[in-house]
Amino acid sequence: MDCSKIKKKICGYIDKDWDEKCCLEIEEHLKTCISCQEEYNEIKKLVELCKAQKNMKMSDELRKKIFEDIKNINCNKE
Amino acid sequence: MHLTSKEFIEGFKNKNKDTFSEIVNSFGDAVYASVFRIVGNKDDAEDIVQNTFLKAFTKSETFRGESSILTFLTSIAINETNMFLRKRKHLLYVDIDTISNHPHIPASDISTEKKDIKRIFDEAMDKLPFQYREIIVLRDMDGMNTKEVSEILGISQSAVKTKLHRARTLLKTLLKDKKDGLL
Repeated sequence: MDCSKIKKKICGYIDKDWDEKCCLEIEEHLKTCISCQEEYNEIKKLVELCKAQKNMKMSDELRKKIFEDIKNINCNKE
Repeated sequence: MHLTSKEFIEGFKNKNKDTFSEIVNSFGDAVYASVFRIVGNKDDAEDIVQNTFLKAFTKSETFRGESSILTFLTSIAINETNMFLRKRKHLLYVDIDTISNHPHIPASDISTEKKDIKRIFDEAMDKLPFQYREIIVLRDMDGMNTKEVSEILGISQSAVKTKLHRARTLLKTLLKDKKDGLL
């Protein structure tokens, strides 16, 4: 595989989407190609950065509103 | 209440009030986080999430159990978000002030350096087209797998992979433009 094909497969490689043969081919290429190594490192860091974004929780007010909706759904059904 | 997966699904489909409450407690935060990350503000996110649960419960009998309940809820949430953004033409993403002032993230939890990275990240996300932003949120931030994202967006798994590759490549370029050495 040439660099353009490898670069297109790097995301899938990080996500473990490819079979063993394809992964080995990518790994062999990465050992010798600085440009693809750079692409791999950057995408990997990007995925880590995305994963590191903080989780958020819904407010108690919103939870109460939804519980109120649930009550009404049951009332309407009855 | 501890329900088995089968009881959970049956209760959901049969519009059982206790199951609905359990579903809000189990998945509410995850659905809220996805929507908030896309629309970028608390008030809009809360309206969308309230509508999402109302719709999900109103049509819970249509849930076939082929996907998880979270996938079903997220799929409705993404549709609701899409409709909201189309109506408002509001494509702003989260800014650091919104995050810092968010009542559920104590300000002391975010260091100055992290704030800087967060601001750069949010500005880059803001520049991403919606179709790329939603896939980054679902796949990389919410940690859903390719199959789940394909069910939520109603596209093939191969289309998810292609879109994700394009989204990550564009986001990477945007981040590098903003701060060299961040990646």
